[in-house]
Amino acid sequence: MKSIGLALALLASAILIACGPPPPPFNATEVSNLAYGKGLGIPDTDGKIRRIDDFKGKVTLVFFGFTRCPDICPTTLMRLRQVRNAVGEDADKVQVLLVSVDPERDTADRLGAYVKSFDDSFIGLRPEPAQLEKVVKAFHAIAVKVPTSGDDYTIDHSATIYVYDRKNQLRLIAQPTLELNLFAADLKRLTQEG
Amino acid sequence: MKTPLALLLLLASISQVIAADPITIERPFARASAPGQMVGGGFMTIVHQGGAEDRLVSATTPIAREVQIHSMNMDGGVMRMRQVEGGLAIPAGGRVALQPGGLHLMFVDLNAPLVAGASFPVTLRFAKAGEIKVEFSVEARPTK
Repeated sequence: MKSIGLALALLASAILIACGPPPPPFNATEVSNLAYGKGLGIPDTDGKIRRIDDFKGKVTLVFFGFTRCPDICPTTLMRLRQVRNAVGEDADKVQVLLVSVDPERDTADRLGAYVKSFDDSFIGLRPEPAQLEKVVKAFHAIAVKVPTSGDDYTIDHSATIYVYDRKNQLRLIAQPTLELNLFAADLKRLTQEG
Repeated sequence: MKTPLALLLLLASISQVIAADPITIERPFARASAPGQMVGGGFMTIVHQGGAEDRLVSATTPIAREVQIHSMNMDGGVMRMRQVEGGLAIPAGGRVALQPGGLHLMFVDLNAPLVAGASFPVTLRFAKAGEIKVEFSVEARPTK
């Protein structure tokens, strides 16, 4: 019995040495094999069609917002700038894309000026109004118009941040409240992957 | 004509002291707007020392077409913003904080960008306390 125990212990340590300890979990929610947004082409604010796969070699962050959102959208953009800067020397391997859920009111000029004011590297994507529903669905997200006073409306929308690795695979789903340093650590790890 | 106006102002300020406003506003502020941003959020804490519930019914400002009172919450990863129906209840003896990530005033269709360091007037209308004029200061967006 003793020798079997010893053999098992040896086997276990051999496995550990061979495989190494498992990598620590990411701080954001890890996902795999999700084809969110794959193949989708959305015009940027210069009219150029952009796809997730265009950003090979970069860690790409996608999230939904609109310029008539007074609080969470500017806050998220500010935070993403801070998170990106906190990645350090690999910050230029992090690309932030804001997809407008309000293309009717977010003209290309307005959206472009808005997004760039937070960080010059950020890119605003403006789906065609007829394309919006398809785009939102492609991310299994939500964007619902809600009337306010007069003819005005606001838009309930997913505030989730979708994080793609350098091979354009969706890897993490982050909430905008994720602590800056934890978020930056996740992104840094992804920038250091091949 | 100058004297009566001054006298009137003096009387007005005295009457304000005598009938001390039960509602006071602490730290009213807005964030500087980004280029292309046609709306702004307004934040403040409403302090109510009166004995009966009041309601913030509406607000106006010369710097925007309209002021709406909004609630905002995160619900399962979805940002939901709602216009507060029938005004915002201010409980007697209570404090209601309008702060980033929650309740806020929304200045709709800004007439000009909100620039850090500037300030602008907002007239708040309460059901009981009536009109209260407040000066909102514009704060820079935190940068790093």
